[in-house]
Amino acid sequence: MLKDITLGQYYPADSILHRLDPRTKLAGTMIFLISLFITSSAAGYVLATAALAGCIKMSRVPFGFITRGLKAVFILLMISVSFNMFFTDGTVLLRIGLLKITAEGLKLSGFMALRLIYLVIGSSLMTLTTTPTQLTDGLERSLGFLGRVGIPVHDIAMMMSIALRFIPILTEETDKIIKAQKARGADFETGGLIRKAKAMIPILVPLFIAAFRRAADLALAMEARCYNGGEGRTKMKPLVYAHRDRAAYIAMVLYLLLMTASRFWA
Amino acid sequence: MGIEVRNLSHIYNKGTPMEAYAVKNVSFTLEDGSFTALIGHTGSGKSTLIQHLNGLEQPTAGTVLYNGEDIFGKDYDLRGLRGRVGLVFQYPEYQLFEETVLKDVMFGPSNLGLGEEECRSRAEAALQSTGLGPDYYDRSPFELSGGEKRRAAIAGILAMEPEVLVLDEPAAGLDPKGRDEMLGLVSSIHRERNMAVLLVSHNMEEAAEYADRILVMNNGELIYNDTPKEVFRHVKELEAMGLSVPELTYLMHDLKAAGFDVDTDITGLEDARTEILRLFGMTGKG
Amino acid sequence: MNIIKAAGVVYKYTLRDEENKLLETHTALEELDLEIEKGSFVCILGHNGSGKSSFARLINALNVPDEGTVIVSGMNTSDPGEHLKIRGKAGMVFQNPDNQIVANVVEEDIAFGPENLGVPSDEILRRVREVTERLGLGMFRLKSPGRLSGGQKQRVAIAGILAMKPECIVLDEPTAMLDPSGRKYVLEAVHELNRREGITIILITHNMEEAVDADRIIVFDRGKIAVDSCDRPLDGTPREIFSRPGELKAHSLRVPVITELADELRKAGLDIPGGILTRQELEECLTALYSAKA
Repeated sequence: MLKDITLGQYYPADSILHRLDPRTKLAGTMIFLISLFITSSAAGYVLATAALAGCIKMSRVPFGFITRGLKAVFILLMISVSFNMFFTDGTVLLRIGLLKITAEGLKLSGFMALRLIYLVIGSSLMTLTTTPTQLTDGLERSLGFLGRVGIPVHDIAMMMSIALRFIPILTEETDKIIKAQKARGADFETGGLIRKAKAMIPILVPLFIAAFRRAADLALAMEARCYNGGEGRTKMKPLVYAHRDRAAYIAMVLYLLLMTASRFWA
Repeated sequence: MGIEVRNLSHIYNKGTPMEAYAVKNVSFTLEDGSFTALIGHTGSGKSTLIQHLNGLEQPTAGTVLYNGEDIFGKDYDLRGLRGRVGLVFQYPEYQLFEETVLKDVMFGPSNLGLGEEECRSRAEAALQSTGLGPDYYDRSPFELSGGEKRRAAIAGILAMEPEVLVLDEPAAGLDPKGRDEMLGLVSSIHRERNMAVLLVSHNMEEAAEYADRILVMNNGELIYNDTPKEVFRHVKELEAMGLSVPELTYLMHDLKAAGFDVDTDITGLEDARTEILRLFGMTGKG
Repeated sequence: MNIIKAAGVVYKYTLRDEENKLLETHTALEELDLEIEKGSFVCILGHNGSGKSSFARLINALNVPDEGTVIVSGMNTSDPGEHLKIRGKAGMVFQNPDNQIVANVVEEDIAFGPENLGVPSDEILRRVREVTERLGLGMFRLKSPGRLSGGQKQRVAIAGILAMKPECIVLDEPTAMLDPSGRKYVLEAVHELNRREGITIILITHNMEEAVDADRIIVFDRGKIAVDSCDRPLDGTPREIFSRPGELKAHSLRVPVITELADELRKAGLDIPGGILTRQELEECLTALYSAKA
């Protein structure tokens, strides 16, 4: 299950999408998400599909990799689809006992499903083509203005980046601790809620200790490498907008205009 | 009887493009009371293999028999098995969690459903075996030194009184003295408790010194399953796998190549000394 | 010239309970005097708790002495204003490969040190390219560190230090968590840097085999220097130290098995010189003895 989450996973490749400035990609993702909620017509969805397909093609990330993120939201998807399908009033197509499926419900749930799927694919595409460091750099720069009101943007960005680095390590560590306690006969499956919660202690205590130990080690290693907060720091690859970013912004604006217009088509 | 591994395979990411064998068609037997070493470099599949021995991992194909019974069969009591096949993970000190050493060691036996008194006496005996006396019982496991923590963790497995003890690099990260003490401890547990021991290691010297049988794994496959003497005859093959033979075995090979008539099966210091002294017509006594 | 000068160094650490009450004070280093020559390869040996790691952190100004002074490249570590400069000159590689890699891509991690030092961007890029090539990490440059082996991760850590253009690298048990091939891979890189570029290497280890090729061996025990090959009357090389396995054992260290065998043979009456380190040496020595006898 944990392995299915593609969000926050980077897929190394050399593509135009990979080379775009993370700020451009952040803006692009935002615009794409907004556009999904603006439109409600079939034409709009065709347009969104075309845009998404184009981006996927340009990203050079295998399609199977992108859709893997969907597994994690599958249950959510099913709930929202069935909710819309069964509880929308309109022309009844089929009746199963108390439940009825209407033409409107079918359409709505279809759009809802697409919306959710595109949402996940769209944001996965961003994280798959942007290294976590670039992503946090992008956020740090985009939100840099918050620094003026006393929000430690650099520190937050650094923490996010480190968290992303340690998620796989701690996931593996958790797996190991669970196995080690199972080897001592621990039982995590049977019993009521309280027993199950109590059974977590032998996992959580070692996990916290491990996390603290790693944190202390890492802090020392960072200090040893002259880390001294954000002040006076330079970047190996400072964010600079290139031609392709300007082109991308123009494309985004056009796309958003078209999507807005699509509301009034048909 | 012991453990019998039959045609065991374990495939990672089955059905995806990243599908890969972690363990490939491995068969061997661990006899009661034996001391076996499992050797292979990192990623050779040895850690995955041992997790099948107490049913923590499910094989893709093949199976494991414990005392003749299929442990992956329906209704087999896997939790009970874990009490009989004790598995000590690498860096086991990271699994300690209780307030006191004694309570932590009692965790295993209490999971087996034993009464409080029985758990306590087993835990005390296990701590005794690992050299941690009564003054350790009420201490927090987190205050102990690295070596002591590891002993406490091993005691946590011993307290379940397993018949087979599997240890994944129990000496990893210890200094030379700690290493010697740890392996000495494993060896004395083997003798005193008459347990079958499977020692996972990448150190050939260790394997040569303690084990009466060596299993060598490479790329998920079991390449050798033989006595140390036989295994160490394959110098070239072992080197091709990124492994080596004990330094003294190399020396004997060198001497042989230089024209000396020496026994190239030697692995230990004492044997090497006697053999070289024999060359010079000395008995080595006195 | 000496890159490191420690004089009269006392370093203590304290244990406190939950209410911050002093439980005990432990003296990690006692009246330590030590100078290390620029460009040398020094191996510091000692069992756990001998004070060797505390000493490593003094060089890097991660620890500051309670008494006495530590001078690194002419800078006093007791002056907080010099700390960043000192850390840039004397880099440090730690034991656990996972816990010292900061970034999610190899090249970004290597850039971390120079970025902190405020090196201009194109210069960082140039240095990162250069050190990845030099350490044979070119093909991993854009990979996630999580996909590398332990030995490769340690090389990345070394590259990250190297990108700060240090004069000295301190490695605190860099191979303790690696398998033999990873160990070899890391040590080769360290020796190469010392030989080719004259970077001072201070390798802390408890593995005697790793000390065989050092210029100088220092053994720590109970916060003091127990043995220093430089103080020895003969050639001042490790050979001198290894010719007394009994002495090393007294400090809870283990000599290489070949040295031990040579020592046993000598005790049994064979005319073998002290300080045999490799099996080639022993083999040559035995061959010579045999032909002399025949």
